[in-house]
Amino acid sequence: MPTIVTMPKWGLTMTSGTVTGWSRQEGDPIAEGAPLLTVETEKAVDDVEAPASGILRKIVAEVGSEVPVMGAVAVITAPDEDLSDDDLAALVASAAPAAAAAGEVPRVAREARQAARDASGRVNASPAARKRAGELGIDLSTVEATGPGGRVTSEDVERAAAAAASAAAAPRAEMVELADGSHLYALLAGPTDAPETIVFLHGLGGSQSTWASVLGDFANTYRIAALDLPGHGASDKPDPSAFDYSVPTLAATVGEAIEKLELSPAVIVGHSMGGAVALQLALDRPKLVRALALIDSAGLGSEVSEDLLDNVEAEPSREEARKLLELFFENPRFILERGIDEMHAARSTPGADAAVKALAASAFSRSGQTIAYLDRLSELEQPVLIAWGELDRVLPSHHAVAAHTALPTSWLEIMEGIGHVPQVESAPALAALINRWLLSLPRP
Amino acid sequence: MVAAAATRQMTYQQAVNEALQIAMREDPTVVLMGEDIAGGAMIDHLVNEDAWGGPMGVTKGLVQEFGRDRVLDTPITEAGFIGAAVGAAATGLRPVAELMFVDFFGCCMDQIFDQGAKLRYMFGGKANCPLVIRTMIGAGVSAAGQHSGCHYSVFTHMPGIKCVVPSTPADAKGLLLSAIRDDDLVMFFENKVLYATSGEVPEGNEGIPLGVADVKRPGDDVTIVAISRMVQQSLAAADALAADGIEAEVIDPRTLSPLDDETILNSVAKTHRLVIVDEDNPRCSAAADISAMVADKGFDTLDAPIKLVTAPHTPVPFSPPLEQFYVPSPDRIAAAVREIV
Repeated sequence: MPTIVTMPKWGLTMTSGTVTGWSRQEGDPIAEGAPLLTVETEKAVDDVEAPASGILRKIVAEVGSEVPVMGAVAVITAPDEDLSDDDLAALVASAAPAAAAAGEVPRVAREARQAARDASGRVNASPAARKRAGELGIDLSTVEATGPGGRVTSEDVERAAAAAASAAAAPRAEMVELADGSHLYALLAGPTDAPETIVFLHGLGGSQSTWASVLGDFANTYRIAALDLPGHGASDKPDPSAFDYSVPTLAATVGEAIEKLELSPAVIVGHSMGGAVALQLALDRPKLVRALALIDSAGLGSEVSEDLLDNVEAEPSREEARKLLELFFENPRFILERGIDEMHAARSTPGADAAVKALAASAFSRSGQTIAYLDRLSELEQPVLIAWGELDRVLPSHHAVAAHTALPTSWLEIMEGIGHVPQVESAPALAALINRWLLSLPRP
Repeated sequence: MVAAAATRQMTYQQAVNEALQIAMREDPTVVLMGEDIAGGAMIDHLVNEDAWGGPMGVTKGLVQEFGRDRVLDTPITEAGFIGAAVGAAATGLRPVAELMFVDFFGCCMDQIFDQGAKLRYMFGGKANCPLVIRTMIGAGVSAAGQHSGCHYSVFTHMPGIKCVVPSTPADAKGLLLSAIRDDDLVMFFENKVLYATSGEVPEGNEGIPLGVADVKRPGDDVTIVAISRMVQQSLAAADALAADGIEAEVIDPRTLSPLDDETILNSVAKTHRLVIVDEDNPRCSAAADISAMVADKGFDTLDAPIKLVTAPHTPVPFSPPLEQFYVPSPDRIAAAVREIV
């Protein structure tokens, strides 16, 4: 049985990937789980592992070709398997439509049309459709009918409900207007009736895009919101003279956005400075926060990298952006020219650099961090996860140990060989960890 | 794991005959009465002659095994022998009377409806009426208006009567055994067009409980409840519909009284659509009754109006083309399904 190797979907917004290298040639043996090819996406370059053992019979996507998610990139066969070129071509051709036609095939092809109404405007809907619409909270007047005479059937209602749920679950961006008139950018996804809502907060100088590689794993099951903090990403960037770029103010802003978006109580996942914001929010507004995941978080020890402070104080440049990525990542594969461009462009956006400098100044000094939550951890009523890159050179991983010691009920995970940004450098492992922790949370 | 029961191929007619034979062997109080059911056999000079065994030969051979004391040829007087059968049932026998054609019920309705059906009720359970009346129904053999009706709906309307409408040889055997063993008056409707149809019939003497419907064909798209021979017509319609991707579930209630509401409602809850096929006349009929039951108890499961495919509200015509038009055909059944699927 030949196995088709397909382009994986790594991030919420990933639609295609570019093949950057093959570790085997056609005809080579390969073992299941061994790295087979490397793929570059907007965020990163990573290995794709062989899904089966056998012979790499055919490379479909040569180096440099861009392949849509789920598209075929190679075929692996058993060592003694005889497959003609025609068979191969048919196999590869069959892969794409099969993926596309995953939906259920309707038993009788009928055209959906506007539902018929009587003179009083009452929609022609079957008894079963009316009952199901009531149960699912679907407005019958919005449902297209496939029944004879333009009658809405229960299947039509099910289909409309599924479409509404998938529309609600599809990623969408929202600019949240706050009381002071400023706007906060939020990327929202996932079913609205999900068992948990998760809010992701990025770190100093970052944006919600730092979570791109992990959001996809969560959006199928959970309702998610990735926010851009004030002065960051696509959110408004008021001048520091008009806005207090401090952790408590950011926490208040995030709390307001969570209320506006009706996300509470939410699990807050905060990275670096976002972790400090999450901690402040949990202490100030405990009702909004169901649980806390702190990833290489600020505020849990005194040390902070001198290199980071240098970088913050420097004028934005492409070179500074490169130095920052080198500080963040242990694996040089994640230091992409595209990523450097993106980082530099973000910092060069009007207002962004001033915001970064002001926020850093409020939290860090040359003698260390000026924000301190270690002594206040015991005040937290929420479950806490502490995850840290072992080799973090921005905020050292012994802060994680100290935090866990101060809060022994917390989950602690030190991620081996990883630097300051596990959500990029070890996205699948971090997503799996957070997922395990979410499943362990007591039901409300 | 239960081993599949051994079966034997036989006709519907043979299945009825075999059930009678089994019942008479196991219970000496079972007696047969009817016009020409012994067919003159075993009278003096005809002792060793073959006999007709009724107009269709359904009881053929039974008089030879059980004798004229248990297989009684009666005069042509339904009021007389059906009345005698009710009396025999009330006083210790288990008669199986044959009302040759159901169309003759008018001659003996007092005996059935006002006597037999009410015995148990009016005597507070101190008397009962373990009587089976076998009777032929159905159009299709050019037997004209007085020998071709179905009329099981009339008896379904009446309390105290159980109504059995077998559609296959296996059901005919199993249901007749249960009917004979039942302590109430059972009307057993044999469709004359089905007599020559054959099928696998389980060996042995096991009865099929009264009041349990049978899913003759599973499907997800529409439920067809079909009565007696209409089961076979509906299965043919279902095959034609399947070619277009419509999977019909064909349910045979097997008994109209008692009626297995649950099997029908569960099926409609799955398919959301119901077609009822009934060869009887449409007004105040079993089809109308099942329709009303589903409209009441299954209203919220319906995605389409309930469709009835029945004979027209007329007697059965003699003209063969008209008679053919009179009986619901697979084409008409399929057309009704297509209206709502």
